[in-house]
Amino acid sequence: MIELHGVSKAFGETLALKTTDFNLESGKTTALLGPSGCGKSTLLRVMVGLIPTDTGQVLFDKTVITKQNSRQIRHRIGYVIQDGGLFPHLTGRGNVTLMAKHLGWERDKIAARVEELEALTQLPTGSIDRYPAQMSGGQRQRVSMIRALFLDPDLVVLDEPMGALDPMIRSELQTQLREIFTSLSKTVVMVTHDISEAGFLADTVALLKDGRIAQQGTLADLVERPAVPFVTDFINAQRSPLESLRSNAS
Amino acid sequence: MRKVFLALLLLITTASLTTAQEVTVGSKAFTESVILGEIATLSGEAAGIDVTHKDQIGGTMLLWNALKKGDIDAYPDYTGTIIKEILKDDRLVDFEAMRKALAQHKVLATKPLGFSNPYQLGMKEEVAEKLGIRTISDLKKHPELQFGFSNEFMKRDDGWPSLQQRYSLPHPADQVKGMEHALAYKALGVDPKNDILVTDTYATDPKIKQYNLRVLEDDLDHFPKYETVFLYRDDLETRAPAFVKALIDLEGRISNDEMFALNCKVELEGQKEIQAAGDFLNMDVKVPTLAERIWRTTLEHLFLVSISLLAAIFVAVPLGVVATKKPKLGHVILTSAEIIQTIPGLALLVLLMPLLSNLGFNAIGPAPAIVALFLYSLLPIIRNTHTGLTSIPPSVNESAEAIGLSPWAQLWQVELPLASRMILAGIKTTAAINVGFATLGGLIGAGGYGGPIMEGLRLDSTRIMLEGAIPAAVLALVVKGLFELVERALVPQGLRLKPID
Repeated sequence: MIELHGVSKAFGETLALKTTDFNLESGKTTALLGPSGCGKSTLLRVMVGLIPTDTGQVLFDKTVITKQNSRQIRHRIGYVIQDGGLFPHLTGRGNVTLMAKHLGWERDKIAARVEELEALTQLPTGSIDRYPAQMSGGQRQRVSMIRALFLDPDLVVLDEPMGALDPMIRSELQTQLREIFTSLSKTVVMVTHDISEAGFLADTVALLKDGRIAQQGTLADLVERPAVPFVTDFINAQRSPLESLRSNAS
Repeated sequence: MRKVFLALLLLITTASLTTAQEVTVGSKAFTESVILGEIATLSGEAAGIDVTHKDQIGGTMLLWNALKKGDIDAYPDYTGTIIKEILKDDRLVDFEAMRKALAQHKVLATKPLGFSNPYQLGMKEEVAEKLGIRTISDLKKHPELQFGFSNEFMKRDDGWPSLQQRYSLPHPADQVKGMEHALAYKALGVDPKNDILVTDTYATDPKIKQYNLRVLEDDLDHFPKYETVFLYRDDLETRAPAFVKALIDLEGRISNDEMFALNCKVELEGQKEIQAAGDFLNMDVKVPTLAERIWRTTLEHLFLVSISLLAAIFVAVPLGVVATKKPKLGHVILTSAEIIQTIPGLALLVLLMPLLSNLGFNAIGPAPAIVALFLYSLLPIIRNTHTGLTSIPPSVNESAEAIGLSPWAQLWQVELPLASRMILAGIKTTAAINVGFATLGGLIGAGGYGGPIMEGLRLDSTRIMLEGAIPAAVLALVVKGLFELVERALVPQGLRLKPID
């Protein structure tokens, strides 16, 4: 679906992404994992053409992304960011239908699509007609998901979609997302720093460190066959509740 | 958008051109000049001419230049001023020589209207009596006296410097102060040690009566005779011969006593100039009521404020957008607008007048005021547009881009609605400030509330000043209220909600 060939990106003096080759498999869910500042968000934005690369090429469905075609390509990509990125001046409905209206969809088709996606994301009835400020965090994230899926994209991109949610809602939404991903069989790529979230949702995990991919594979690959010691360090850094309990008792 | 813009331009242009099709009389910013302007206006109207009176617009050079340029067609002036200040040629000793010199500027003069109005020195009658001062020469015997002169008198060719020389007056510079003329009268006192005892005045000045002044005899004939004439453009003879005839009919008609009485009616009895002029001409004039006057000045004021504000919105909001999208250019734009903002209001008006005049606009009237208001409106609107756009959360902008909105759609559907509250706040502030600032237009005959404020200052009348000041304050509040309603209608509902958690 997406291929990166020799891509690098610097912001001023900082090299955010060192020369990277990367392949995103169609129909699979891939998680980009790593500590803060490792380049995972940059990698994600480069993939969808939101920021231009310094070197190398990005191919979307075998087409090189350029400045000219990137907007067209983005119509085929659904994008969800951390706090939802909803437009505060529009209702949920205004947010999710903005692009479809812009592309001249018919009213009935738009209304039907809203209903369909409301059901898919299990958004409580009536929430869609509220303003973002009137919604809970989970509702905002669901509306954001509806907006991302509205044009039936080939690729869904999520940047720490659960970052701002409390653990209960987070877990509920993770379960739902997994169902959605499975039922739609879309190509999904998401950024997270939560290893259990990555393991729960993704088929493949890419762990980044200092602007480079340290290892790419299944979570089991990373746990059992770490390519470098950092992989093990990163995995062990995440404390489970049981472990916390043990260390407090001793 | 472009059509609205063109319509605005057209409106501004026609507003400044319409007055050019009739006869326009001007007058200086003091009572006698305004009365004479009204007399010329009423006489012209009686002769069937459509006359507009641009009253109390500044001083000699402003009117002279406006006359040469054609912004006004006629105004009253004094021979001494014409020779000393305008033509600056002392060789023009007789009246005919002066008229010939004026003709070179395509300006004609009527014969004297009858009264002579030379400069004089005056002091309180009881003080003059006590000190035994009757003539200007008598002042030599009192080197301790302090003088307070109008600023113009301090500078004029025939003013203090040459007077002192002519009479060999011994008074040192620190005993001679230049000040606002109305203040000099008020400061006149009785104590030779601490008070100003002598000021300049002129023959038909009602203040002589008001303050009971003794006029000192000009025993060495220093002050030139100040005959009063109407100056008018020579093209009036073909454009409006009936008006020229009406002016000529006024030659020799007004005596010193009559002019003095007219000035007193206005300055001491509170009559309107048009009333005094009508009485003199034995004409029934309709003096506008308070309500009519306020209605007229309100319309004029709204015209100044709304045209300039609308034009500023159409220019400043796009500039604010550009400033946001192109930060380097934005820096230039913001700095330029800031520089404009630092020019004092009066200076800006004075700078704009010749500039607009060269561009073919009428320099006397609303045009310079509208342009000045427009320029002052730019910064707050540009800055608020810029602030409003740059304070949009990056995640929102990224979302807009990520869903594939075109830059244009992003601007109209996301950025401008989100910045709308900030932009409107800038426009609201600007509108309220402009309502106040537009009163400066009174200085250049732009109309509006500045008119009564200037008139009140001139006549030292708080009541008349408040006729402009109170409506200006009320209008500022009304404008603010209106914008709050606009804000309610324009700012998206979603932005006025408080987050629930």
